[in-house]
Amino acid sequence: MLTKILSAAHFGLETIPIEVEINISKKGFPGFNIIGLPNKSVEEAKERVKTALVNSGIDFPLAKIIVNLAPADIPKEGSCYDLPIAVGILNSLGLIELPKEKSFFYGELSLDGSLRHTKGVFLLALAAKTLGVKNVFVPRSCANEGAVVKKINIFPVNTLRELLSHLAGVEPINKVSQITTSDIYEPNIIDFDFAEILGQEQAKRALEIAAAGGHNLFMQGPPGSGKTMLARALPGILPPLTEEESLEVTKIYSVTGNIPPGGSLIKIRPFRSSHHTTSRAGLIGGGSPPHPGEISLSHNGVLFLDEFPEFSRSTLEALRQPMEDGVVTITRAAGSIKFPAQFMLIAAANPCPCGYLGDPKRECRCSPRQISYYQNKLSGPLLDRIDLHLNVPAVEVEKLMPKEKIKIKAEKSSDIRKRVIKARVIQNKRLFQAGFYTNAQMKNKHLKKFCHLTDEAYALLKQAVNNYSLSARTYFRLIKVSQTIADLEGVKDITTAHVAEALQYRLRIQEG
Amino acid sequence: MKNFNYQTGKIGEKIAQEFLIKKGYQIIQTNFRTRFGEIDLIANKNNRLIFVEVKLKIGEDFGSPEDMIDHHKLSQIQKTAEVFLQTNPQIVDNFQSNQIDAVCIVLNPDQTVKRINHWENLTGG
Repeated sequence: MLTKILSAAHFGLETIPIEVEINISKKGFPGFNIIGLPNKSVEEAKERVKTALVNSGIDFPLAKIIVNLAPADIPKEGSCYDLPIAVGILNSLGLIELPKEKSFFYGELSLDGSLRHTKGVFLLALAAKTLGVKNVFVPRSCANEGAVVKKINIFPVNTLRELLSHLAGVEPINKVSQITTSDIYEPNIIDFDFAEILGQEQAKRALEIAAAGGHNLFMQGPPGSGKTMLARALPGILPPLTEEESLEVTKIYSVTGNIPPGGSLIKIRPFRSSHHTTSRAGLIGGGSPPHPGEISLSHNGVLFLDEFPEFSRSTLEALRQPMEDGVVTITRAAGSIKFPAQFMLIAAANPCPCGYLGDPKRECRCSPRQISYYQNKLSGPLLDRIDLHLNVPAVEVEKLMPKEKIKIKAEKSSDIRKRVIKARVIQNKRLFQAGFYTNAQMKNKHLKKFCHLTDEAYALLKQAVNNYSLSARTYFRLIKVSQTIADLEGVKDITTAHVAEALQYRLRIQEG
Repeated sequence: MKNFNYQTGKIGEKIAQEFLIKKGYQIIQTNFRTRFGEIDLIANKNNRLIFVEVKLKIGEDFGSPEDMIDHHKLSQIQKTAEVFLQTNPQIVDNFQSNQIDAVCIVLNPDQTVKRINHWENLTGG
């Protein structure tokens, strides 16, 4: 007897409906075969389904079972076909009745017959809505991912037994109630508060600008000056994701299995930090079929690369194109997939191998050759794409241990965050028609439309470009940073003060 | 244990032999051995040469006899059958075609037959 069950496969961020055809024939020699280009994890579904059915108290049929995953020419991977195969067998045995409306079945089975957390449910629910599939049966632990999508029924399934009695009409499973974005509360856990960091006022200001406009930032300073600490404190001042941003991030997190059991939409801006041994495929994305890398996982968020020059040259250079375009297209023999990668890069480095070049108190022990070798690891085109360059000097001892009478009060992260959010709201209002969220995302052609410089500001900018022979890219990026500084202040036009501040971050470290 | 398995195997082959004779099969040879493996029974029905693999299990708690015949086992039988076809032209020439069958037997703990299934033409679908 033949049964057809609807399920889905994900390719990049695209979802393709897969028809799982199950044929049970009592005539042939008993066996269990899966065809339709399954990989190892799909192939192993045989044993999981068989054992899960037996452990749910169902006699596994002594018959020839053939499972076809159609369309048969697309390679299938993952464990999500366990549930449709099991349901197909149950239906062929006449134990259940399939729902009349189109239904997706999706999930990994455990040997005891319970359902395990399976990645990609959010994308599945979105696909269900566009394809007109009414019911979606998924493991309970990932039901919340689908519950944010409107107009479809998400049925959370604990065990195969439970689903059996639901489909047999004995005891129905209650569908999950709709979750709206405002229902989700995710506490923003931060490692450090800006109030804990003493001194470094200028660095804090630069981070505030970076957070407000989504600009890239490069910090250079001696060991122990607080570069890493500053970067770790950054999540505390990042604004929460807007609804559209949240949907984009959740898609990537869902398909990579980064949403914890019970989780739903991601509301906290991603902050990813990668070790410098990270491979190119790990950072940019890759594999066959292609999987998203760290730059896509930090989409709409922050990618923090500590010890920047220690990364391999080819890895760093691969960042150039996505930094400019905000998307990365990965092409392999298995296909070409586009992933969003609109991230904000925070990089930190020492000025030389010993770390003390330019330090007022300690002497640098490096030879000129060593210094130039170290600094040449970062190419000009890469540094050109970074808007804010920052020196983080060592903190003076007086600031670390203030005398009792003089109290140094540092601003709290939550106060800075309020300003950042305000600046983002201004940007959203201005840019939402063009489809951007932040100033950094603007393309050059939009600058004329959205950014208004006063005449004096324009003159200053022109003078700076001529005097320091800045590149065209730098020119446009300077305007974007100036715009963010103006937004933080809440002023409409860009004035000389804004341009001057933007210039100061640009010229701090002379390349070479 | 080894000897015990051998003994039960013998019982299985005897049961299968009686079962097939009752169904109208003619037994041509038993336990045809080569260095690849063994064919338990070779039979004839309607001018078809049939190679039979017999599997016996006592109780199904550790899997059914059908589970024990996998791809590996099947190719082993195919190879052995090939040898038989090559080395016994005087028998083989009388037949138009051949196939591989399996007889799966499950015994109760008291050695009575719980079920016996005859699966025809394993390689043919």
